[in-house]
Amino acid sequence: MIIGIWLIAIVCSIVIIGEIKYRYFDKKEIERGDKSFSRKWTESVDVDMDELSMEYIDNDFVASQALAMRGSWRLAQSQVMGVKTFSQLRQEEYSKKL
Amino acid sequence: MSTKKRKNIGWTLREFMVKIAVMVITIGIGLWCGWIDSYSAFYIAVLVQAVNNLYDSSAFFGGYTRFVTVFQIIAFLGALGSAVLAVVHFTNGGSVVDSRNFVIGIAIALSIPILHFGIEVYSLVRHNRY
Repeated sequence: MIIGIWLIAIVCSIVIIGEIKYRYFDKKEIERGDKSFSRKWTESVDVDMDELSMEYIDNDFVASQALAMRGSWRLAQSQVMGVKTFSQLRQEEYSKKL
Repeated sequence: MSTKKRKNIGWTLREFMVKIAVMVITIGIGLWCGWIDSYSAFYIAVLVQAVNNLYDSSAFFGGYTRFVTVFQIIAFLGALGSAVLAVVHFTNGGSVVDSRNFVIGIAIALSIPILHFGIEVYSLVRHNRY
């Protein structure tokens, strides 16, 4: 009987204090951590988009689906192919057929 | 004020549960003895558990979060008081502490680490970190 009462008292105390800790301390700590993270994140990023100077690089790759449709051996070798190379090869192939 | 990050207890859920189970069994047996059998059996169990609590609590004094440190200091003081009362019981005028109020008080004092570890388990479960 006494052990049962003692156990119930312990479990109730754990739930009450644990919930208070979770709601009022742990959550605040997590929010504080998120804020500091986002502040650091913005500090390390160039937020002014006008100042960004991105050069256009013609380095697009042919979609693997397009290579697969042509039964490309390059795809079988897990190689990638740029758009320019692909168009040149296609042109050569077309010329041979003619 | 130190800017060093204070750590939490890095135990897993299983480690917490094993620790809590051992403490519940030890204190439960002591409490049961004190309530229905003899005070001497109760105070022997109290002395053993109090020494164990003193050792466990002392490991959490440095570098841990305020929540952990405060709880463990209270547990340490409770264990110290319980050990003193257990020693008093075995002296000549030891019958002073042979009452159910002391049994309840000592059981509460020794249960503080269970309460603390239980809260840590609750926190782990609430944060889905188990």
